[in-house]
Amino acid sequence: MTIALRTPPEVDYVDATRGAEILDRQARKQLGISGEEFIRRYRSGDLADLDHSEVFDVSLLLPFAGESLNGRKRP
Amino acid sequence: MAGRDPREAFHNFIDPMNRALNCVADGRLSVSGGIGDLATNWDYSVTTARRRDDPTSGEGDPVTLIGPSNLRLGIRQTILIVAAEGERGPYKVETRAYSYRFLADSGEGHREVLAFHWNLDSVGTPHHPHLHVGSPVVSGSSFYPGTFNKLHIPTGRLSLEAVLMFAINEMAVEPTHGRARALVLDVLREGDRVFRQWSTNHGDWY
Repeated sequence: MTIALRTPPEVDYVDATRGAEILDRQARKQLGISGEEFIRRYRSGDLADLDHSEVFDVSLLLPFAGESLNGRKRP
Repeated sequence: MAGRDPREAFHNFIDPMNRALNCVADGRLSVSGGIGDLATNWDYSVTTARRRDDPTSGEGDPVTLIGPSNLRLGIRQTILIVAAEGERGPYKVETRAYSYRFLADSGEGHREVLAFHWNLDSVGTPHHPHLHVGSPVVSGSSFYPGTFNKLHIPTGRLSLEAVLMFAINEMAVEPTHGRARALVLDVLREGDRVFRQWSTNHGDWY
């Protein structure tokens, strides 16, 4: 089935520098801590005092900063 | 979705999602990493891009949905490109985690009212896809006071398209750019059908 729609804008591919800024912005906005602080505390498992739903939501941005969400090693 | 190489698999996965988002919000998706540097078995993150008509917006900010409820939608996914066999290969994209959050204006800014979560690789939290009902919805209730919003209410694994159909059908969200509602729902329904055809990992329950 062919469905005619307006052509959407292209996907935006983000480099590592902008990616780190994205994580930092959202970590500050949602949790009140920097992106670096979030990474440090996420790796050490020290995020229990922060709101769970917001922590999970920010954690999905870790790959923007070159970090794995689930401990994978960069190939 | 499958592809002959990582790049094709990636485009077959991300382009329909981008189109689905654009049906209900004036935006597009942002993806970590360059399109020329796609590796297998490595996490990539997907979220909403900065709005070009709003200099104060940034990547990852929830998009504004059109409709009487003044809702916003936050979108996150973590995906992998993996090798696959048969018709699902030689390369395909796997979703490993998602977060779809509806936020409503509480009078003190937009706050989370519904959050659909899933993390296939979670440690210490439920593996099954689930829903959180936000505290603005349940505050004041005597049922699980103060903790209802922390419950992990089981759902099926959801496509972005299914979440958007829910928003249109049940939360009065309207398509963008005057698009016909029936046409947009057809697009989303088709995207959800393809998702269900190709999805494999559903995680263990508890």
